[in-house]
Amino acid sequence: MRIRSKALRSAAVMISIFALVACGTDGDNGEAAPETEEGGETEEGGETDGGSQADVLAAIDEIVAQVEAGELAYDPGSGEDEAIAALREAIPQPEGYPGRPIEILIGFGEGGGSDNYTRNVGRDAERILGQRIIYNNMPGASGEVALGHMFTQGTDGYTIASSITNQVINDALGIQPYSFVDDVAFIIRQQGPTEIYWVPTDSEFETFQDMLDYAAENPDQVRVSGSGIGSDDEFRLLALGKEIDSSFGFVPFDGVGGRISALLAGDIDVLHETAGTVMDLYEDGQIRPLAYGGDIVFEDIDPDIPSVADLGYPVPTGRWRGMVAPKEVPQEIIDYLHNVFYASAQLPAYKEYEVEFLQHVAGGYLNSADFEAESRRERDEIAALAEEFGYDTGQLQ
Amino acid sequence: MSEQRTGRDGTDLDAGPPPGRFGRKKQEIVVAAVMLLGFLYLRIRLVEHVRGRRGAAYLDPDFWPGLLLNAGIVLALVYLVLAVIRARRPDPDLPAVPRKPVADAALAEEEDHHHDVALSGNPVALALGFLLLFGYIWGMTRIGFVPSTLLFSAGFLAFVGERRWYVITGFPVVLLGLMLYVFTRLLVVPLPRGRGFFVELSTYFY
Amino acid sequence: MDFLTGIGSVLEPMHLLLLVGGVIIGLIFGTIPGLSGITAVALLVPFSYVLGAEAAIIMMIGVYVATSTAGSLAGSLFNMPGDVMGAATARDGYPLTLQGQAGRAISMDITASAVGGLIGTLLLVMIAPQFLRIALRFGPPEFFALAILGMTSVASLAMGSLVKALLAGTFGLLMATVGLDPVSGAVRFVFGVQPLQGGIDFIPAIIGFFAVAEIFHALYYGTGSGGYTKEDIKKVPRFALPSLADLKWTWKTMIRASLIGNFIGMLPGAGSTVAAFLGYGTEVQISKDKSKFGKGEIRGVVAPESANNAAAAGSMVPLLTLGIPGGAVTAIMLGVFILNGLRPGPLLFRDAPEIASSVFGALFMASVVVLITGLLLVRVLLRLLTIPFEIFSTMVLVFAVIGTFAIFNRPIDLWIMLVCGVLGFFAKQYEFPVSALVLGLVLGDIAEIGLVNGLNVTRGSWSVFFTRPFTTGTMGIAFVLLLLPVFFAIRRKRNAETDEPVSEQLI
Repeated sequence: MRIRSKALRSAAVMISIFALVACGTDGDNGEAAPETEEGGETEEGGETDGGSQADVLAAIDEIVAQVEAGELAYDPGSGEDEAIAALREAIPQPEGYPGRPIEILIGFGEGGGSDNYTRNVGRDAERILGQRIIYNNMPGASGEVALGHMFTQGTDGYTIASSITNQVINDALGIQPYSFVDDVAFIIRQQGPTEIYWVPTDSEFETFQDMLDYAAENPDQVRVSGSGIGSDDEFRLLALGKEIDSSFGFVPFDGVGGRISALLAGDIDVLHETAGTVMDLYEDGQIRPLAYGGDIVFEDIDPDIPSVADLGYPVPTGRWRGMVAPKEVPQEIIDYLHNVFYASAQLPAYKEYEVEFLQHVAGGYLNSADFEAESRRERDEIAALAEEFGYDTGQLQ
Repeated sequence: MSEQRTGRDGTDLDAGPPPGRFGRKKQEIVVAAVMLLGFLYLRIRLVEHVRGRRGAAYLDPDFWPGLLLNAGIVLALVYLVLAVIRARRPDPDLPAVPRKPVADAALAEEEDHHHDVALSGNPVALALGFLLLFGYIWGMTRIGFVPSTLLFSAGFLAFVGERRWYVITGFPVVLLGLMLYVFTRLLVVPLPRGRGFFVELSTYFY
Repeated sequence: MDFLTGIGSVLEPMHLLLLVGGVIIGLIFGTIPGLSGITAVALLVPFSYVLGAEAAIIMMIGVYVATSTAGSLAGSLFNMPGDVMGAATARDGYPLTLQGQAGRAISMDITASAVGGLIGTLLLVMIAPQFLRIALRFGPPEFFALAILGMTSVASLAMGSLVKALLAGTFGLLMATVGLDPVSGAVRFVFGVQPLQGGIDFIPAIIGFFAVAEIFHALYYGTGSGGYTKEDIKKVPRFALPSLADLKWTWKTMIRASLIGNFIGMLPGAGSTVAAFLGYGTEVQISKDKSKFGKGEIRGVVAPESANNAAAAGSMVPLLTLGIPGGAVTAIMLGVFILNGLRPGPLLFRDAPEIASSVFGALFMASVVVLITGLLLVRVLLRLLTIPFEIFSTMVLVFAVIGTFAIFNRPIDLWIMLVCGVLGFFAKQYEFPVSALVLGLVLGDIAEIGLVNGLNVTRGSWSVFFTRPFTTGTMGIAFVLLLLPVFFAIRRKRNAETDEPVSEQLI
C-alpha cells in the first residue's frame, strides 16, 4: 500500500511540474507556432506538363513584381494570401507531393548562418508548399553529419538538406564515404560568398597590395585566419599564395569568436570573414576591409575597395549555400522544390532578411543545372590545388 | 547508494575474494591491462586512425593524440604495476585499509534501513537493462519515437519489478504524452519518425 | 549603461513575471535528471518573436541563471548532473545526500549560486571594462595555459588514487579528439562511423556517465535510488535557510570562487564549464586539509556553484560587447538577440542601451529570484528522492534519451550516451573519478587548439607559452596549485605522523 501511494504521489509531482512548464508557455505558443495546413488541395494545381522551367520562372517573376508593386496582397503571417495563391497556381506540382511535412536537415546549430538562411527561405516556402517544414539542426563536421544522415533517409523527396561549400571541399579531399557532388541532386543555390579580407584599423597594411607585397617577401609570415584547414578560406589563400610565389601563414579557428578576438589582440594580421558577421566592428571603426574576397564589389559597404578578382587573382571557391536532395529523388520533385525556393527567396520576407544579414550584396542564385556544374568545377579545381600542394587526404605513406 | 560501496570494499578488501569468484584485485589487473593494450594499440596504429593533412600546421593532427596516448601508456603501466604489487601482497588479518569514505558511507548507511544490503552484483540484470536501452535506441530510428518509447518504458518498468498492470500500461502513456507535449508542441524537436509505415504514424503525432 | 535603470526595468510587473517564470522553468528542467539547461533555453527561442527582444532576453536570463543552479541540484540529489558544472558540484553534493544531508546540500547549492550570481553581476557592472581588456588579450597561447591550469584540478578530483584520476583525465582528453579536427580537418578516431565525425559533445557524454551509469549501477547491485522517506523530508523546514555555521565556514570560498568564475566566464570560448572545475580545484588545492573533499565537504559544493554562476554573469561580457558566445547557452542567446534584430557587439551599448542595462538588471534580479524560489522549493525537490526506483529509473532513462537527442537531433549522440553509460558504470565500479574524465573532455579542445594555434600565430615559437605575461602568470598559478598540496602535506607530516603507505595513495 505504501509503495503505491509513493508511486502515485511521485507521478503527481512530475505531472504538476510539467503542467507548470506548460502553463508558463502555452499562451504564447498559439501565436508562435507556424500555420499548419492539411495537404488536401495539393493535387489541385497538378498541371505537371504546364510549360517549361523558363516559363514557370517568368510567371514567378511576374507575380513577385506584382507583390512588390502592391497589386497582390502579401502577409507572411497569414496561412495563404493572394501572392501565395498566385504562386501555387503558377508552379506546377508533382502528383501527390508534398503529402506530408518536409524535413530540411541543417548541418549547423540554431542561430548560425546556415540556420538563418534555411529558416528564412523556408518561411514562405512553407506556405507555397502547403505543408509544414521541419527544420532539423544536426551540427557536426562542417555539415557532413547532416548530409550523411540525409543519405540514410528516404529518397522520396521528403528529406532534403541545406548545404554549404565545405561539402564540395570535403568531396574533393575524399574524406567522406560518399561523394557530395556525385551523390546528390542539386536543387538550388541561393547565397553567394560575401567574405572580405579585414585588418585592424591601425594595421600597417594600407591596401591589399601592401599585404601581398609583404607576403611575397616574407613567406608564411602574414598570419591570416579562417575557418579550418580544408575550408574555402584556406583554398582561397593557397591559390593566392601560389599566384605571388609565396605563402601565407594560415591560422584556422573553429569559431568566429576566436577569429575576431585573435585579430583584435594582434595574434593574427588579416581576417578572412563574411561581411555580416563583423559588420558591427567595421561600423564601430575597429576593423577595415582590404579587399572583397570574390569577384563582386559590395557597393553598400565601400565602393572604393577592390575585389580580389578585379586585382587579377584567382578565386577558386567561396562560401555559398543551397539546397540538395538525395540523387534518387525524381527530377519532377527537384524542379518543383527549386521553383518553390526560388519564389520564396524573391518575396519580401526573405529579401528583408538578406539585407539585414548583408547577403544581398553577393547574389549567388544558381538553378539546379548551374549549381551542379559550378560545384563540379569547384571540386575539380580544389582537387587540383590539393594535389599540387601535396595535400595528404588519406593515409600517411 | 552507499551500501554497495561498503559491500564492494567489504568483499574485496576485508575478506579477500570469495571462493570461486574473480577477486577485486585481479579485476583491477585486468582493467589496467585492458587500458594499457587499448592505448598501445591506438598508439601503434595511430596513423590509420588519424587521417588528414600532415605538414600544414606546425603540429600535425596526430601530435596531440600521440602525446596523450604516450601519457596514457605510461599511466596505465604504472597502474598495472601497482595493481600487481597490491594483488601479490598477502591480505592482512585486519581490515586492510580503514579509509574514510568507507567509514562515512557506513555511517550514512545506518540511517538507511529501506534496502537490503546487496553484497554482490547481478550481471544478468545489468546486461538486460543494457539490452533494453540498446533496443530502445536502436528501435527509435526505425519505428519512431512514439512506439519505441511506449515499448521501452513498459518493458523497463516490468523489468525493474513493477507488477501492477495499470502502472505498466498507464505510466508509459502518461510519460509519452508529456514528452510529446513538451518536446513537439512547446519545443520544436524533430524526434525520430522511423521508416516506411512508421513515418506516417509519427506524422500523425507530431 | 545604467545598472539601476536596468533593475527598474526588470521590476516592471510583466518583466518580473517573465523572469520568475523563466527561473521556474530553468529550475525544473535543470533538476530533472537527463534533461539539461540548454534544452530549457532552446525552449524559449520560438517565443522570443512574440515577447519582443527585451522581454525575451529577461526571461531567458532567468532560465540561464536558474539552470546554472539546477544542473547542480540534480548532481547533488541523484549524482545525475544535467551539465558540466553540476559534475563538479556532485562530487561533494551527492555524498552529502547519501549521508542524509540532502537538504543542507541543496540549500547551500542555491545560496552559493545566488551569491556567485550577485557578486558576478556586481563585478560585471563595476570592473567589466578592465576585465574585458585582459580577456581580450587572450589568444591561443593563453587558452592553452588556461587549459593546463584547469587540468591541475584533476588532482583534486581523485578518489584516493592519483593514477586513476590522471588516467581518467587522459581518457577524457582523448575522447575530445574524436571527430573532424577543427584545426586541421583531419578525421580522427572515428573507426569508420561517419556520424562520429561530429565529435563527442559533452552533454550526451555527461548524461551517459552520470545518469545512465547510475541506473546501471543500481541495476547491478539491485538497489534503488533515494531511500528518503516522508519523515526525512518533514525534518527539512519549509523555507530551508542554510545554517549560519555553514555560511560562516564558506563565505570566503564563495567570494574566492566568484572572482575566479567571473573572470573565466569572460574569456570568449572558455565558458562557465571550465569555471566550475577551476573553482572547485582551486578550493581543494589551497585548503589545508584535502581529505574531506569528495566525501561531503560543504565547501566542495559551494565553490563550483559560486564559480559557475559568477561565470554565467561573466559570459555576458563577450556576448554583449563582441557578439562572441562563451558557451552553448550563450550561443542560443546570441541567436535570440539576432532574431529580434539586435546585433550584440560594440554598437549594442550605443544603439540599444536599454537592452544592455536590462541584461545586467535581469542577471542581478534572477539571482535574487533563484535564491527565494529555490529555497522555497527545497522540500519539493527533496520529494523527488522518495520516488520509487521502478518509476524513477524508467523516467530517467526516457528523459536521458530525449534530452540527449533534443540537443543536436543526432541519433549518434544516443549511442555516445549509451557507451558512456557503460564506461561510467565501469569507472564507478573501479573508482575512476568520472568528473576528471568530463574535465578532460571539456578541456581537450581548448588545450589542443590553444597549443596548435599558439604555434601558428607565433609561426613556430614554443617560447610563447612561457614568455607572454598571461601565459607565464597562468602557468605560474598552475604550478603553485600543483605544489601547494605537496607543501601542505610536508607540513602536516612534520606536525603529525601519518602512516599510509605510498602505493595506497597512488592506486
